[in-house]
Amino acid sequence: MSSIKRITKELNDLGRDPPSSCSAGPVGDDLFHWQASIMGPADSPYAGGVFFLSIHFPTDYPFKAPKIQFTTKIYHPNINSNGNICLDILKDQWSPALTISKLLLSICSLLTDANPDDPLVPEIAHIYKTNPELYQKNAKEWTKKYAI
Amino acid sequence: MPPDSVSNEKLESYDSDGSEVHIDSVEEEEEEEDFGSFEYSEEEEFPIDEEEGEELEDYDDIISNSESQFGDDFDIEPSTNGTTFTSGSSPNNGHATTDSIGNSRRGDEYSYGLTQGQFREESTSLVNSTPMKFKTYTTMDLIDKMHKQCRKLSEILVISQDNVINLLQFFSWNSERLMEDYVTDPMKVRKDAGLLEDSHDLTGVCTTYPKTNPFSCFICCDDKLTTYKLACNHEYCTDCYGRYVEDRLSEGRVIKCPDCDLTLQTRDIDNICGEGSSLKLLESSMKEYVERLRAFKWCPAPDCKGIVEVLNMSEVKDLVNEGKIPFVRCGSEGHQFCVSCLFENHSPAPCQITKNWITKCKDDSETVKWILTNTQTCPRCETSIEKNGGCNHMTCKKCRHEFCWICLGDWKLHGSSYYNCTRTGTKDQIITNENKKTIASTKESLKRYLHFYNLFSVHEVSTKLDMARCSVVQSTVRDLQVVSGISWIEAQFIADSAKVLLSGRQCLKWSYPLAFYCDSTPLLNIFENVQAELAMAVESLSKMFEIEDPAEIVEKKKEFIDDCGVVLLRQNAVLSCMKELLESKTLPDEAFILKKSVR
Repeated sequence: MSSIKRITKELNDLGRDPPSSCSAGPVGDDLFHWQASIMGPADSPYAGGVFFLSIHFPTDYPFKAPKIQFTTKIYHPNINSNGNICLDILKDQWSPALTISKLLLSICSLLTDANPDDPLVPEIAHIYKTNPELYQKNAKEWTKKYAI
Repeated sequence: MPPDSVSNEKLESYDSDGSEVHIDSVEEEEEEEDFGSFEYSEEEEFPIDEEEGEELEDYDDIISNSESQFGDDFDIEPSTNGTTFTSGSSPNNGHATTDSIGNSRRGDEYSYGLTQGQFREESTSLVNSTPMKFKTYTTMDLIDKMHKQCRKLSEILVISQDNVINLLQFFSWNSERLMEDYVTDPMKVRKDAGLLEDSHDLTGVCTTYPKTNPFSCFICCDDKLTTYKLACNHEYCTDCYGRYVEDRLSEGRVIKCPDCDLTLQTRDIDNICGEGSSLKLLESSMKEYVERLRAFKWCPAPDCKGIVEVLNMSEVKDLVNEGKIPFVRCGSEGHQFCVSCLFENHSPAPCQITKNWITKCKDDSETVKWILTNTQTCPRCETSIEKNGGCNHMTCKKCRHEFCWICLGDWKLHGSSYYNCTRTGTKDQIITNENKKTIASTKESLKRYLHFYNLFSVHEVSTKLDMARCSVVQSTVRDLQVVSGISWIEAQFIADSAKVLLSGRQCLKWSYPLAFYCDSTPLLNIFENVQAELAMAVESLSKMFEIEDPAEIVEKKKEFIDDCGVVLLRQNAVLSCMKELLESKTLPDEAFILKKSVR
């Protein structure tokens, strides 16, 4: 199976050259189920928090996108209470040339720059746009409460 | 006159002046005379009027602009772009079809000869359905049309046709916006759409590696020997690239390099996935293309790929308001459909009633689902029975009990004298003006609705079964023709009977929603009687189609023709009664709520 080969290669690459502020690896023996963690970016209200994510690889990976969810609660316009992430490269913009490492970096930049025009949680998006201070305050509070 | 020349001349009339239009109209009149006494509504007597010419200006433009270079790349005549006709101007021209290379021809179902006097199903079904002026297209025709548009734009914008296809796909076939944006800032448009910035369109490169030094593909992490890469140098093995492209062919959008925004050209797609793959992509982007054109409608029949261009779209609204059904017939299988509802031709029920009925059916379907499943139980032995034949005269396989599928009553009581189970409330309550007020409770009205819904859906199912049965019978008779040498014309009665049966069924089916929305008046009682008679005639004809032996079918030709005559007669009666019903304004406001909101 080419997906195992590919996932193994990505795992080796991550071990050899780990991206700053992210880490990822299989949960137990199941190569198709990973856990990842992201450090809250310093220039964001999530700074200081550590956010965990679960990654499920489909059997036809990398032709189909992996399923990624936050397992840590986070206050963000594009991430809902179930941890689902609204990100184009996880949906129709997925390409087999992308990797888990690139995905995690994209999620990191989503934490820094949210996309309130295409929100998953409209209430947070509204606050993000109309009252940035309140958004910063809420996000910091949630980070303190759930991610530290 | 050979069919090809008919359609060619008709098409010519679109991009020329009045003289050919005149020829066209003479043709139509000749055809009318050929088929005797058809009743036409006024709209269809003149084939092309000035107003329509205006509507077609854009289209003329495209044709005349593209004709000059048409045929450089594609060896197809310019006149093959669809077939134009007015449905109903002869009983058959709706069947004219366009085959895969676009040559127009008349379909097999051309019916004339000894039975023409008796088979006038078109004329009867036209009492309140108004044929539109339309052209039919196959997907291939539309691809030609798309290519033409690309050629035109390619000349205007001075870029390759491949680039235009990519740009149009990127712009969801909105050519106006593409033109506007491209003229303002070609570099930005090219960049956004993933085209190389200079006008050179470099095709990707397919490389073969030696076995000693294979290529390690990033996607599958295997060592492979053949690869493909675009000008961006992102290289992947042909297997992975192929799968990547294949996955995206059905999306109808531009396909980009897996690792950057560079767009794959038509030739790249063909190189990677094999010849003809780019055509698949073009076909899937056709959906957006058709949706952009207001006058183009997909045939709503399941799995049908027929496309119809309505030439007098502006008249649709008025016709609907007059209670007429603007219908067309798709080219591929001759499905009739209403261009306002985008639903099958629902004559005799007017569009508003149809829309209300369908919404009602959808809303109540959850309730109805458990009340009406696909099976019914035999009234004697309670065996579950699924209906798989056309007629409503059921015989239980287990206890040989004969009963009526609609009322579950003993068939003997129906006898041949009076088939009366289509009447409202035959069981105990006859709905009269007085007790109508008393049945206002939701329970009663649900019961009433279920009664009509039941009748409606029974005939809907029967229509499908009839269709299947008719095609089986027709093919057996066709085989018999080969064996016994019965002439084609002699065997035509079978095809004609099938048409009569299906149109009778359709008329019957759609008369129930109408009756449902009618207040109970003496006129409705008459209507229901006429309806019941039509139902009996249709069932009788449907039963004829259950004859298995082809020789017997041919033998019973006279019976077929007689039965058809009865169906047509009663169908006419239903339609004229329906007309009276509509004109008598006994229809409650409920039936026309949509009409009001539209206004």
